[in-house]
Amino acid sequence: MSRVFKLKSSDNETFEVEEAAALLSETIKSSSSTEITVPNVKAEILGKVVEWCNKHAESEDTKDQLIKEWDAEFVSVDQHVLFKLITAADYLQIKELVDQLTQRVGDMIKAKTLKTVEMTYPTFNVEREVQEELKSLGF
Amino acid sequence: MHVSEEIVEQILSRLPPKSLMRFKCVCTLWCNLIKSPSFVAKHLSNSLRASSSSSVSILFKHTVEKKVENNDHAETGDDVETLLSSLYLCNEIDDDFDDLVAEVLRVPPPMNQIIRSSDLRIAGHCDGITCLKIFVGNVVLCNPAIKEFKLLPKSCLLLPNDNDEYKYLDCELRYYTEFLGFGYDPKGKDYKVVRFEVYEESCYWFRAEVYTLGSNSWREVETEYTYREFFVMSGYCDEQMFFEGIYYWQVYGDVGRCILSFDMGDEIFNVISIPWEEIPDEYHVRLGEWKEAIALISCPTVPVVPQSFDIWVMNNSGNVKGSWTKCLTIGPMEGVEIPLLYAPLVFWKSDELLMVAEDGRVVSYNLEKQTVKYLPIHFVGDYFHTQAVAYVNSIVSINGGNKLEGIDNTDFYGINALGDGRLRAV
Repeated sequence: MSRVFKLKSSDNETFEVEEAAALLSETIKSSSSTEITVPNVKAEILGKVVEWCNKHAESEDTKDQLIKEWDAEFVSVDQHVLFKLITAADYLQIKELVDQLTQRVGDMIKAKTLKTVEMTYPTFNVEREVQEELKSLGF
Repeated sequence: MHVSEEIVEQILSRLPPKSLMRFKCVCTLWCNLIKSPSFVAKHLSNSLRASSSSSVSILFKHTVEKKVENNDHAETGDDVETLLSSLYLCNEIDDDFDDLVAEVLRVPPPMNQIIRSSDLRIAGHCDGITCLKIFVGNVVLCNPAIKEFKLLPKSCLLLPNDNDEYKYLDCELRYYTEFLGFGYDPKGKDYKVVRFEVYEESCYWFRAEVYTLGSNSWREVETEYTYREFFVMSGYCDEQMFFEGIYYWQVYGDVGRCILSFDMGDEIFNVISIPWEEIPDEYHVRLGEWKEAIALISCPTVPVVPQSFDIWVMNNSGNVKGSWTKCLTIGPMEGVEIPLLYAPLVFWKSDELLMVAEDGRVVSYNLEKQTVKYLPIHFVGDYFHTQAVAYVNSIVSINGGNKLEGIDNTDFYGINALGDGRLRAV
């Protein structure tokens, strides 16, 4: 009989997660208790992380095309949500999810910066331009 | 919203070199991070591992027509120039080649004045760094992704006419040819260039030296092959490659055509045989890397219709005395005629083979779907000297810059040279 883990968000909502999904998190794996509070992560975000874990627990084959498409949709979110998801996945140490999320941020940055032409290093103007671009991406 | 430094590092390590070079300007923290060896290594390992093909680019050496009004005889004289071009994917859509970009690499003088294709040769690549041979005796390392170039110091081996030791011998050491290899030594954790020189005429001499990036100098290496004849098949990149700590050249040796290898760590040469008994007559082989192993591609030397190639993979890649297994037959390919000798053949994206067709256009053949696609780049004139390598985009620095000084082209264009680039000893 598999254990059930309880994940509590910072706004006091509890999510019940089956063992297979829960153990995708290294933090949970190495925890002695089945009740884990995730600080600084609200229910809305924690819920999405749990959703990801549940999806990945049911399918063994991560190279499956359907899972890939599901993952691609999962990370296609607003950048603020993206960063919050990263914080949660990082705290819970879910490597695969952190990889996918950081890859998505990388792709967003790439898309913006590859459109610019020549780089001269270092000039004050370039620095300001780059800083503004990054600010608009949430850094 | 504050993201931890580790996460920032993770994100940055997935970006292409162009973006990273710009982000060095953002703040000192990022500048130091991007230059740090651990970050460079992390970025490299991401690129090598990446399942997307946007971290691999193709470097082409090709000859194009210069823009002149009169286009008669474009293949000879000063109406052509030899360029290095980069071919890369602009986004992640795998099956669609429309986002392929071909960009001419801006190289510092005098590399931008090379006329004849044989004056510039790609002599190996590793971790995003390419080794180039320019005119005779000049070795340049370059990382095209971060536009760094470095001219290596001159050879430490004395030419026979410089060396008193050889004066007592009867034979005239009139010619020498040099061959290069480049790769990473995993034991010494350094990048190395190996050069061996073969002296012709009545006696044959084979001497070798190694350059390490860390010491920025050459030193001679001892080898038992001093008196044997070794000719590299054509000196072109498809007859030589670096793989997992060892450099391989296809050569003519005492036993016929075989492979000469050099272990970058142990600095030892070795000979590997080619399975000629299992390859049809009038076929020759090309060296390549396929599915993380060394491969031989055997192709016919006389026109056969339809065209097909066999791929052989070396067993026990770690063991230099490995044997070969035939893995796959490519083709027959419909509707495309591939020139048989010397034109580039590069495995790209693990199931695509990049080739140059008879009409000079570059094609990519998909091994699984067995389809042919034309790429937005072509050649003029003789593809004989055309080369292509698939390199990974990295930010590994070679301690170079964007200038090159001291390239010796007097020996080639001056009065001491023979037409084919070899020096005549006086």
